[in-house]
Amino acid sequence: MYIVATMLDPRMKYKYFEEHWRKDWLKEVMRKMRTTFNQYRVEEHTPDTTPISITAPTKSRLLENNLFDIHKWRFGNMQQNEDELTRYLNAPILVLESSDANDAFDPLEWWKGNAMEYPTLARIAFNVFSIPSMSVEPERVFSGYSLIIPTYANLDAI
Amino acid sequence: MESESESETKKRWRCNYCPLTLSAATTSNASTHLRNAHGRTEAGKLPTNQTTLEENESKATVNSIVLRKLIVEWIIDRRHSFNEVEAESFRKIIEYIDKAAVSKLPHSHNTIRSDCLKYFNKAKGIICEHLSTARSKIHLSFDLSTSSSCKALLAITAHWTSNDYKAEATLLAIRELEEDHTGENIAVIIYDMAKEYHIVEKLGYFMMDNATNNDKALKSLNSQIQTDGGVGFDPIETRLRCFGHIMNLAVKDLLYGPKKKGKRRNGDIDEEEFVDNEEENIGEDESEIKKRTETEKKRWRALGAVGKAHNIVKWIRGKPQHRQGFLNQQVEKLKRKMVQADNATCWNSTWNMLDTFLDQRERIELYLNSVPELKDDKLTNSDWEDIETMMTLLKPFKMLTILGEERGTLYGSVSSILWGFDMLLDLLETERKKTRPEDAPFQRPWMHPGGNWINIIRRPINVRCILLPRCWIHA
Repeated sequence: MYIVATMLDPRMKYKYFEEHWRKDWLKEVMRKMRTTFNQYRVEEHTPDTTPISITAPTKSRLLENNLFDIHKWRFGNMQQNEDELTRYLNAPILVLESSDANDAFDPLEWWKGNAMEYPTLARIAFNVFSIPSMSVEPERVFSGYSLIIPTYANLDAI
Repeated sequence: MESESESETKKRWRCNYCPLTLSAATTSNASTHLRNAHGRTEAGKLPTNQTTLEENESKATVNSIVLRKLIVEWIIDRRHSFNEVEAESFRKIIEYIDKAAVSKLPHSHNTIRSDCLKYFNKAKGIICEHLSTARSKIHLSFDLSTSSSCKALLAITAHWTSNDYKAEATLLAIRELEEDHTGENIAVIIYDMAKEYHIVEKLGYFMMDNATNNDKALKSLNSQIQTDGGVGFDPIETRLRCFGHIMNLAVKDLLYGPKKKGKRRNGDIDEEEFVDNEEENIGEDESEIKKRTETEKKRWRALGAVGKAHNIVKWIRGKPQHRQGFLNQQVEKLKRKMVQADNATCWNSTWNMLDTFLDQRERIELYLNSVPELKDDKLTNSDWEDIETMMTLLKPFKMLTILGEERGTLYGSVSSILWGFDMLLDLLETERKKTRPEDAPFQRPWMHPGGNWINIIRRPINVRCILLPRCWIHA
C-alpha cells in the first residue's frame, strides 16, 4: 500500500524508487504495483462496481450506423498499444518548482483531472490518498480536541 | 409555531413552547395544540404559508429553536453539566438580555439531554449520507485509551475521499470497552459501529498503533463479517501501522539507546520503559522512598545528557521553593522561563524540555552551581554539545510529526510514509558517518548503555520490515 501510494504521486512515481531504493528491491516494487492494478482491473469487469462513466454527447444517427471508423483513421498509428499503468509510468513526472506549490499540491485534484486518461489508476488513487499516515485523529479525541468536522458540528446545518 | 421544512412533502409545525412537532397538512392541528397545551390563542396569527412565516420570524426577537441549539452547542463545547440551564444565576443573565427569552429556555436537564440525542442522531444521519457517497472505501483509525475515570474508551474515526474529491475525516464513535482489551472484544465494537453506519461492505484500510491486539481485532472482525455471510477483507494487507508511533520508537532509541535484548518482543514495542514511579511510593517509609528515587536518578543519569536533564527538571519543578530559586537566578537579557518537564508517553515533551534547556542554558548553569544536591547531574560542555546534536537529529522527526498531524494537507496521507522513512534513515546515516570515526569507541554518553549507532540505525530498518512484510524479503 505504501508503495502504491508513493507510485501514484505523479511527482514521484517509479523514479522515486530508482533514485532512493536498492536496485534489487525494484522488481518487488513493480510487482506490487502491477498486482494492485490488476486487482482493480478485475473489479471493473464485475457488474457490481460502476467505473467512472464518461458521458459522451449523443451521437448522430449517421455515426451510430458505424459506416466508417473515424477514430481509427485519426489516431490509429499514433496510439501506442500500451496499457494504462505503463503509459502512466512512462509519462514524465510532474515537476513543481516552488516549494509552496509542492506543499499545496493535492494528488486527489490531480487524479480528478486525469481520471479520463488513467481511469483505473484514478480509482486506486481516490481510494488511497484519504488513508491517514498516523492514528492521530482518534488520539485527538482523548487529548480533548474537538474532532468533528465544522460542517457537521454546525447545528444550523442540521 | 414555525414550520420545519426538512422536505416539502413532510412539512411539520414545530411548537415554540415544547419539543412537539405536528403535521403541517392543516393549521388546525397546530392551533389546537397551542390552545390546549399552552393556553394561547394564536389561531389568527398563524402563518398560512411560507411568506407570512418569514415575516413573523423577522419580528421575533429570540427564536426558541435557535436558542436551544446554541445552548446545546455551548454545553457540549465547554463540557458543562446539563443542569446548567436550571441555575437561577444563568437564567438571570438571559433575563437581563431579553426578558421574553427566559420563557424559551429549556427548563430541565432532561430537555438538554433529549436535545443532545436529537442533534446527535441527525448528525449521524448526515455522516451516513456522506459515507455512502464516498469515492473511496471507508478507512478506519482507532485507538484505545483509559480515561481519567478509569474507563477504557475506544475512539473510532473514519477517513475517506468525498464525492467532490476531498480527503475527509470524522469521528464515528467513542465506545466503552467493558471487558478485557482483547482483539475479539475490540472487533465486536467496531462491527456494531460499522453496521450502524452501513459501512460493513465498504471497509478499506485500518490505521492503528503497533499493539498486537489490533492485529487480532482485524482478524476477528473479518471472520465475524464472513460468518454473517459478508465478503470481508484481507486483515493483513489492510492493517497499517501509525507512522507517528514508529517515529516515537525510533526517537526513544535515539534518546536513550535501544532497549536491552530479551526485553523486546515484536509488537510489544509500545510498552514504556521509563515510568515515573511516584504513585507506587505510597505506603513506603521515607528511607525507602529516598533509596528508590536515588536508584531512579542513577538510572536516568546513566542515559547521558538527556537523563541528567530529566533529573534536573524533576528537581526544579518538584518544589515551589526550587522553582522560585531557579527563576530568581538573574541573567541579563534572558527571559524568565520555566523549564519544561518531559513525560514517558510522548517524545515531543522531551523535545520541549531540551528546547527550554538550550534556551535557558545560562540560567541553568548558574542554578546548577548553586545547588549542591544536583552536583551529580551537572551538565558538562560535552553534555551541552550532545543536547545540541540531539536537537539537530530530532528536527526532521519533529517536522514530519507536525506535517503528519496537520489537517487539510495531504502530508497526512499514507503516501508520505515511505519517503518520510527514507529521509529519516538517510539523515541518520549521514550523521553516523560524520559523528563516528571508524572503529573508535563511542565517546558520546548518549550512545551508551549497550547501544551504538549501528543498533540505532538498524532499529527503524527493523520497523520497516514489520511495515512491509511482503516487500522486504530481500532486505
